[in-house]
Amino acid sequence: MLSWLFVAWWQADRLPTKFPPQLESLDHQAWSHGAEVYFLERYRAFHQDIINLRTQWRREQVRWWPTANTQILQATYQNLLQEGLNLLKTSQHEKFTRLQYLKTALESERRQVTHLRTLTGSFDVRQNLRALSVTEGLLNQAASRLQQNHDEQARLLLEQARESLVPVESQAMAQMERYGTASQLAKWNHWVTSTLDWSTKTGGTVIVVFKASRQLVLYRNGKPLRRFSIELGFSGLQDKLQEGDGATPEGQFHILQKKGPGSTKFHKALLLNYPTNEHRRRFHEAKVTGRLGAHRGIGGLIEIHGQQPNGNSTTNGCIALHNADMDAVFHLAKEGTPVTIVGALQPNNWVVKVRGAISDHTRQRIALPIGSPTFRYR
Amino acid sequence: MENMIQLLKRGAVALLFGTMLIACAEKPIQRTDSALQALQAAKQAGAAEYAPESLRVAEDEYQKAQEEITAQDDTFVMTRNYDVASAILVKVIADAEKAKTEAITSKQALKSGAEGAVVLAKTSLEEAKNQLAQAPTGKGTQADLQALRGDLQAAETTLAEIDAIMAMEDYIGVKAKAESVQALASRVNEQVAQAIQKTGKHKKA
Repeated sequence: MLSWLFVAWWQADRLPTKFPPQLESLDHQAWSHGAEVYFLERYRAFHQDIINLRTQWRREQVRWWPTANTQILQATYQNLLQEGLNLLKTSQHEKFTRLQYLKTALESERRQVTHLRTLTGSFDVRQNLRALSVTEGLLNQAASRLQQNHDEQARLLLEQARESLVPVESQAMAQMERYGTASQLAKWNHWVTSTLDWSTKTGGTVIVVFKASRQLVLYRNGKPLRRFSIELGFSGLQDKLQEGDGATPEGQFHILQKKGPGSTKFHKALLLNYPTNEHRRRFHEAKVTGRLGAHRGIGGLIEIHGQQPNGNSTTNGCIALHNADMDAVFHLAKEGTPVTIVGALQPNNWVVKVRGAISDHTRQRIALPIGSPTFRYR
Repeated sequence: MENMIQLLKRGAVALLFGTMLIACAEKPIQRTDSALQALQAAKQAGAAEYAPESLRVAEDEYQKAQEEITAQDDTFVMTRNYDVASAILVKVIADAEKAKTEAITSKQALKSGAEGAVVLAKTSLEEAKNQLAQAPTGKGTQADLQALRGDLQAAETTLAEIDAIMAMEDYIGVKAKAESVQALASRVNEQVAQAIQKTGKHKKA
């Protein structure tokens, strides 16, 4: 009887003396890969289960006789091993996905900054240039954090960058809006049509300036004769309202004066009759409604001219051509030649496209993944 | 005979007392305190941020030591033995000291890297300011110059923020900000250089 008991005791299923280290190692690896950050509750449960198992394991070992608990503990160990592997795999995937997602979001915001920067020289973005620089600074910092796999810090910086971009986007989109509105396009089309009708009827030469495509076209008999690339004011695609706004005025004008070499520092120049009565009316209305200060001036001296002596192409509101092109225009134009300046004729013009890209970005911008434990991708 | 009985009695008492002395092992309270102090010192040295893996190892070991002590507390008084717990606590102390050293070294390396990046950023910013002062001016350059000034102002603001986060010992943050300043300053330098190349002249000083 005693020998049977001894044999049974000897052969009984026992737990290893030392708690196997694999589970603790998995726990450590899962934690290193952010399991506690991404799956807080699940990870804490897993970690606590290991502590509990270890305690039970120790209790079981001090028993004289192994019990059925041995098998239960071994099964628990195997289950926890599986949970640890799953947790590690999921955490690795989560971290990778978050980093990829943030990298994509970072690149997307950089593209948005580029889009907004392309408006410099077309719209009045002076107030926003610092905000754009600040945004770029924040994006650079986010990129540094991403390089070090610090996803949460990168996310916070990206959030800040987005916040500083929002007012810039709103202002830019408001300025560009009229290039896509039917009534504005109809007005511009009407001006060009009436100018070309006059050219067809009289056989005369007319000049039409398309601001969005930055082109000056010379027409005769209503037909295009020559086409030239131009540069505009630093807010050239806006309609001029006051002195110093850098906008190129829109409307139907004519040439008041031809200035040959010696009469202008811009090679040759054609002075336009800006401001017209319509511009004066709008200017006074803006003053009355308080949009403009009482001491603001309406501006003037809007010309089509050649290159600047300093080589800069951007103007304060005039239309600038290369000197060789200016020679051609100067030769064909006369005092009294009609000059019509419009934004664009087509609804799919450059401004509408850029505005669309900026607007799409703001619409498609989705919440950045936040830390533990709520972020899910689908 | 009486002497014999007396001797036996004394022997039995001595045996019992001796056994109790051997069996009643002491709890490693002092070592637990030392381990806790070592862990605290590691944390104060910034191990949670600069040596998280090593700190975690030490903390896990400390947890195991506590489990072992609790397990021994639950056993029969005569069979209690805290040797294993004591050995684990010795390891905790060593691991915590390792975490502390690692944190100090890592922090120092990051600090040096951050300070280097700040020096570079300041130099780049000064260069960019000088370069911008040389930028060609004239009709139509206002927007470009304003854009570049915007870059420099943003860079200066970022640089001004660096002191505060340096004081908080966030060296990774300092480096990221310094690199951002450098990127903005470099763009200003490049753009002014392009403008000078385009117009072929510097602004008169």
